[in-house]
Amino acid sequence: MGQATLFKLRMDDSDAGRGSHTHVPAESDSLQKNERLACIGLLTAAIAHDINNPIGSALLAAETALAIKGTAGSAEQLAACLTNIVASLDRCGRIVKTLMRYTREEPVEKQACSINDVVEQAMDISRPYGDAHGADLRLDLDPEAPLAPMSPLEIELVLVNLIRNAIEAGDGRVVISVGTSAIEDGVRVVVRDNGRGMTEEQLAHVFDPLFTTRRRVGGSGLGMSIALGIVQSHDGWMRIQSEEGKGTAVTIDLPVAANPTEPDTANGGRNCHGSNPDCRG
Amino acid sequence: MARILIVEDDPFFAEILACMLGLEGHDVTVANTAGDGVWLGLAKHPDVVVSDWFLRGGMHGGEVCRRIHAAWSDIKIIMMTGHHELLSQAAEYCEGVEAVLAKPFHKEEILEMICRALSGDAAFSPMHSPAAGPYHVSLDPVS
Repeated sequence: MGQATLFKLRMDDSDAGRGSHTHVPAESDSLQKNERLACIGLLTAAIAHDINNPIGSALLAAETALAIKGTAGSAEQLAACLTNIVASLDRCGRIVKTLMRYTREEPVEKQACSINDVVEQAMDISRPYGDAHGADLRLDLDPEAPLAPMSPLEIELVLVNLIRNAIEAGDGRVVISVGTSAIEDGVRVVVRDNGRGMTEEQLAHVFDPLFTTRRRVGGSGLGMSIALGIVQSHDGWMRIQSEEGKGTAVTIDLPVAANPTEPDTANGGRNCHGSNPDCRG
Repeated sequence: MARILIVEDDPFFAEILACMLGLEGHDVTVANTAGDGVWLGLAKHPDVVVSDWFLRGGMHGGEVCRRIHAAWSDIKIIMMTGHHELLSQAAEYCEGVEAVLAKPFHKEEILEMICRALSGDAAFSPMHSPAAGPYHVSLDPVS
């Protein structure tokens, strides 16, 4: 997990009784190894799609090679098939390595990436699911957002999870906006929806492994705990603002420096007051 | 021989599928984005469209195929996806879907699907693939 311990569990007293809440996960939220293993189930499902493509590619390439071997003029096509097999299996290996990281506590392999590119990838992946559920997905990208060190696959996984949660929080038509911005020493991503929001109790447990509001539709409750783990392994932090009946906003801050300073929790702890129906932090 | 349009944003998968179908004697065109898929489908009027469900470019394969089928109602559509939980959704999204293949699938599976689609064989039967398990769905054409 990331070296920085970032959060204190708190409920903002100013929101007491107003129905809107802010949750910042506790310092002690590092997953125990057995909990992490339990989370592999959700991660495996999420990665299954990615791995089915290279497996399928290698299978077709191998069968094609077998069909053409020995025929006149097949050398070039055989070489192409074998190249495809090697590349596909390499992709499979990289996907499995990402999965294995969560059992071995290996450090995240980071590279300087554009958060806007990662957000766009996540939206592309999520758009068909959103269309099928009547969700309106919108982007609001800051062209000035700096590059930040990250594992793009893992951050994409986090964003896909958040967007999916937002889609499923809507009953029929829901508007989901994903925005990026430059902040001091970092980049910020905010996933907002105008869905049903969360109750105080739900918000208090949102990062608990196996807690879910979506059991009836197959939710396993592992997504947010994994998402938090990924963000923390990037020395970033995450907060959730939600108002029942109004919507939810999930904010992720990622540092651009290799050794980030403590986040400004005073500025980051903006609250969604009950008087603000838009719930925009 | 048939004119086949492949809509697939995974370049490795698109390449090998095109190579394999080309070796079988088909005239194959590849689109790597949803937008290109729609454009090529409308421009080239293929006999068969083989499309992945998840595509880059803001549109999924079902919508690509729906738009092409709206222009050319005689085309046959074969959907494919690595997301097995979407098989039913992919099958029902638009008219013209002859079959939905779960990735990974064998070469012979897709060749048989294309052959049946071209011959207008209405008596599809569910197939099992040892590679894909019991996820393979094939349909009678929408009448």
